[in-house]
Amino acid sequence: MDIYSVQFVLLLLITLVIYYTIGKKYQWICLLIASGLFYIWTGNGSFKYILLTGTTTWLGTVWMGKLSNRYADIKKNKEIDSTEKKKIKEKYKARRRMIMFSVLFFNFGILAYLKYWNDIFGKENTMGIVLPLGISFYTFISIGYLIDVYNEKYAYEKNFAKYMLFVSFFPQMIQGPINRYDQMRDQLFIEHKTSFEKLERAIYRLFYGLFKKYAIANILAPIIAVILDNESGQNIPGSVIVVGILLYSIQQYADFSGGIDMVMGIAMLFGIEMMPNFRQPYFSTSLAEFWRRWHISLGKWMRDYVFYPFAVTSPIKKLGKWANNKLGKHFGRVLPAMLGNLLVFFIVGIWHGAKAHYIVWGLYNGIVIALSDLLAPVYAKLGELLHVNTRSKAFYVFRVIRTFIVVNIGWYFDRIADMGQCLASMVKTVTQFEPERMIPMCLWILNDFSRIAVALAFIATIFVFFVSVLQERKIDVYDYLHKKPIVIRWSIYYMIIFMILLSFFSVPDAAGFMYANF
Amino acid sequence: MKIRLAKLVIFFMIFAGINCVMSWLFVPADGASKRMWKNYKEMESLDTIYIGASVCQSTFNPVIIDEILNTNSYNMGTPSQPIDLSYVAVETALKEYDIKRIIFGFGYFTLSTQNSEQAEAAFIQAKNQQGTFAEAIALNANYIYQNIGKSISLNFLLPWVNNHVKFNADTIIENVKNKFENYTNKSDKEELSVYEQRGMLLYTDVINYDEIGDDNTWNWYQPEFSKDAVSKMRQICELCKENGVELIIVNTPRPTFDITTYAGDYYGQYLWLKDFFKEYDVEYYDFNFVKPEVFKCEPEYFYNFEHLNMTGAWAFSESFAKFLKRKEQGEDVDTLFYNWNEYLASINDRK
Repeated sequence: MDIYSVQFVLLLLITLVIYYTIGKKYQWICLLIASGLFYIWTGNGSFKYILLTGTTTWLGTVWMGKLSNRYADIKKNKEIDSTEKKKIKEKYKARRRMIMFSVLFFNFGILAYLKYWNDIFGKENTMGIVLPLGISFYTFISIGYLIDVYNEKYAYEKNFAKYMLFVSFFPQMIQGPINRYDQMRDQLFIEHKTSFEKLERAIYRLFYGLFKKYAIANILAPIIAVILDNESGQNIPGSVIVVGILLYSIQQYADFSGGIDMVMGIAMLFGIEMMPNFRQPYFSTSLAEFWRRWHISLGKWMRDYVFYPFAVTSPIKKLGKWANNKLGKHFGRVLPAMLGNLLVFFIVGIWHGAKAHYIVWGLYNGIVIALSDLLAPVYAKLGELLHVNTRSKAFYVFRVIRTFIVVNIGWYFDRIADMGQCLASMVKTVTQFEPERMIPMCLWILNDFSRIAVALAFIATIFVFFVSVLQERKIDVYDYLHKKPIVIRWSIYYMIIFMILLSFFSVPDAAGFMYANF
Repeated sequence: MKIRLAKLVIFFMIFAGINCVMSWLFVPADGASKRMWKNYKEMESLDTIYIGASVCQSTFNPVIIDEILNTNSYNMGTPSQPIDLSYVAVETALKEYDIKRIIFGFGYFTLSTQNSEQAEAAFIQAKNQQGTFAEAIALNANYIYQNIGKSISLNFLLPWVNNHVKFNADTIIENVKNKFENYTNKSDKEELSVYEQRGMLLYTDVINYDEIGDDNTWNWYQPEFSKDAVSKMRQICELCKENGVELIIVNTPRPTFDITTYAGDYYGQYLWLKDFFKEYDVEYYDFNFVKPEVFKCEPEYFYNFEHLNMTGAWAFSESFAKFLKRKEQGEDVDTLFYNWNEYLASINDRK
């Protein structure tokens, strides 16, 4: 079931009507049923997998919670001396750790099997299993909850059905975000009332997402394929490859952030604010900042459940101390972070797929961030020597452009599936740029595509850029629009709606989301 | 609240108005489906129809066939006609005429190709224009239900999104001009040839074998049959059986290279289909295997790797009608076809 379909619209409308008319006690049940139906209709018969993950993580946390409660009772018992209590504490701690790791490995095992077995051992070994919808997202959501309960960040959820709603809340199933239980709990299970403004805001967000996805990403995707997959069989010069990569950066952002806007809008219709996933990433001044603004929920998940736990392991602490003593304070401080970043980006690369080009892409990002941390004092010194005003607007623009270029170099590894072809494209970009061939070749490629559709995508991109500038200036775009005369406001609404519809001239199918298969 | 509701109503009214303008700009003034249904409605009587995609439309010449068999036939083929809409064509014809025989212009792609949303929308919109309001509602609702989880289900509500002219300025201007002049290109009967009036699609060019490249059935279509399409095929067979109508499935002729470059098990699929249709007492013939005494296929009979041109269609229609006559007379026509080895032996000197 596509989000853009009668089936989804009916599901959404019927759920909304029931949700806002049913008593407050039952609103979450309404969402649970809608989520179940969505998953059954969309998940290619893979409902059992999400149920398995939900059940195992919930049982794991209940067990851990009960052990904690038991220990709390023992702690209160004055007949047991403190040495004995310590022993019992250690025993319970070990049990809880064992439970946590068992559940964690079991679920990551399922994820790894379904996600990577095909890539490594060929399709025939998975008996034709289709990757369950949103498996990465709901696995990460569940594991995050499991670790939080293990760390006693919050108490475990006693109601299995409520927990299942948290795991399977349907807007997050398509491509995230990776929500956290403590943020969602207070929203999913309380009463929600709506207002015209709330609904309008939600619909605005939903349509803005549709606009990005259909009027930009879907139109650009086949053009990019011609350039970067070399479907034309032509000798494509480096300048055109650069155009392809730049278009890919637009397509990927429009697809992913557009999809996120859509699901955010859908959740907002129910009065639920999910975790933000994008904050104008192309306005970042460094690669590290880019990754704090792009796929934010994954970045935070990695930070909390991989980076920090890794950084506090005793070997890494020891290494930091050693570096501090032998190589200086700065090195001692950044070395653990460098290794942590490399590990995180290696995992992020693998998460994209068990293929060499994804791993290289992940490591590229990790290495660039690690090096920029390491060389920070050198840059500072260089800036002083050259008398660069690091607070000037010009320097800000320079940093944004520099980051944009660094990110786009990474997209070579991300987009071009064959490692050899990827390297060849990079070499061509440098050694065979041939700028004089760029315009004729681009026009030749565009011959197979509707010029009007390409113009639509171009206009839509400028529109999104303008909205992003407003957002970057912390302007509420909804309020901004509402201060405009109705003629302008409605013209923009109609433009958005009809550009979405016109995009189907170019790509008749809704086409899935790029991140839906992760 | 009242003001907000009023605004909402006005917003949707303007939206509907813009949609009318868009429909006027983009929905083609003319089209193969529109022409087929319009001319079909004008047939006084019919006892035979031909259904299927463009291979049907360009192959069966009702005028020639009727002359030999003394029938009243009409070609209901349309470009990229998906099998579920072939079903609609059969159902409609059975309701409206006293149909005795249905010929299905078939290819393996019939059971494997992904449907063309534009062709589907054009077919249904054209059919709706000729039917009653209730029929149109039922057909539209059924179509939306069949595709309820796909984007087409939403786009179908706006006629211009799926059924539109090419998205370039010249074509749009030309379309608007045609609508202004109330000129529907070749839809007006007097401008159509007698063959086109009977639903035919005419290809005049001859295939250039040197420029054919990788164009062939294997490269263009999925080799596997889809479960949905096979199930719809069963429904067509059952519908014909219930109505006591003779259904004949015909693999239309293709250039020899198209069969030999088919990388799958062409003959195996043929045998499977033969058994499949036998279940419903339906005759299935692959005219690529027919012996030259019935139809001698010449290289210049083709327009491309799958369509006959006019010369080919004329020759084939005559042979096909004579073949049916022999069948009617009780001759064992199965002996008029080669098996795979005989076929391979017969094509040594053919393109």
